[in-house]
Amino acid sequence: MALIITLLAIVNALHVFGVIVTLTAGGPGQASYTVSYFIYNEAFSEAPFRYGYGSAAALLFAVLAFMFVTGQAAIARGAERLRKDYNV
Amino acid sequence: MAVLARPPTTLVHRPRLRRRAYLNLIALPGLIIISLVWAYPFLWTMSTAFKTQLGAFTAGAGLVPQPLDLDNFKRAWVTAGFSTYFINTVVYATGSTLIELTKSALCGYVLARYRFPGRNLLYKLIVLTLFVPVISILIPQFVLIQHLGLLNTRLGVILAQSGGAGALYVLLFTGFFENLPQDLFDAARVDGAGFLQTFRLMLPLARPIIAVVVIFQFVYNWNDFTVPLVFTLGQPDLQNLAVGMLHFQGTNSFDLTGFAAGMLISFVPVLLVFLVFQSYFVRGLAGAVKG
Repeated sequence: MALIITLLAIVNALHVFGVIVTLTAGGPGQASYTVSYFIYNEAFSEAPFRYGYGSAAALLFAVLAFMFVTGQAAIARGAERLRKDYNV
Repeated sequence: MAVLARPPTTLVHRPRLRRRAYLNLIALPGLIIISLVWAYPFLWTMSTAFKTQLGAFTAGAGLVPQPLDLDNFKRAWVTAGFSTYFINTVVYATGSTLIELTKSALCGYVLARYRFPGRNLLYKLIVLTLFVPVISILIPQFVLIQHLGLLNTRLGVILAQSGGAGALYVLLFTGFFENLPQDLFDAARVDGAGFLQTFRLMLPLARPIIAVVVIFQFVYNWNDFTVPLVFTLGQPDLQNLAVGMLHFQGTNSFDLTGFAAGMLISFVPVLLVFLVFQSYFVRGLAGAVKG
């Protein structure tokens, strides 16, 4: 249960979007730029809508997020097994 | 190894009651302070909705609106166009909640009661979608809706909002229908009920799950920002409340009190939905853990 909650929280935190649009628009400079906002900017905000480029970024992002989640799950499962073995 | 490491049971104490009471005395004030800090921004927004423009700045962090001003609500509702956004949001949230509910109930029902080739794979794929970032399927959705000719229409937004797999809801429904006694289904079959009729008989039993889905999906869609923003870029009067909030942000001015009033307006319906479905909601979650 705790594992699933952690993973969901991580995925949710990875795609921060609304807060960035409303508060900072990625600024100052690019200090608060997130991947979601980057994809949105590339694909939807200005005249040459670069769906392909945005999609590539999105795919890469999904793969990265998935790797992150699987890695995290593996670590958590390993820790759980250790805890059971040594009864800590 | 695991057996050896287990501590002898005789050494385990019951926690002493008095010490626990002491800890509560220390913990409770701390928790109250933390929750006040957490709730403060929300309380401040609520009170700012009743302040005058000038009062909002002179009062600083104060919570008591003085002098009282109800003009903010009128300005948000009429001038800033919140009446339109409000209707849009209701349509979007209701529409996509209905679609999501039907879809996930049927999917969970079939996954729970039928064995077919590829069932486990399908189940795993649905769980997997929990971990796919929303933004990474936004562009394909956009292109699809565009080709359907539904861009900048209400139907397009509703379809996009209910376009995910609804994995959480499917899991809840699967868990629930799996635990129903087989006798119910046998009885339905003996009486000659087909697939849809059996489903219609079983669905009312899942009332707690339905409440969970309605609350989650309604609140999620009510607050959704990404989808309505992207799918109504060419039609500002189709935006929902969350996106409409952006219009308070002028280039050199910011209507703080009107914004707060808008916040309050958009908060009330969510509260109502939660209160109506609340009693079912808690029961539904309690049942979901078992499955």
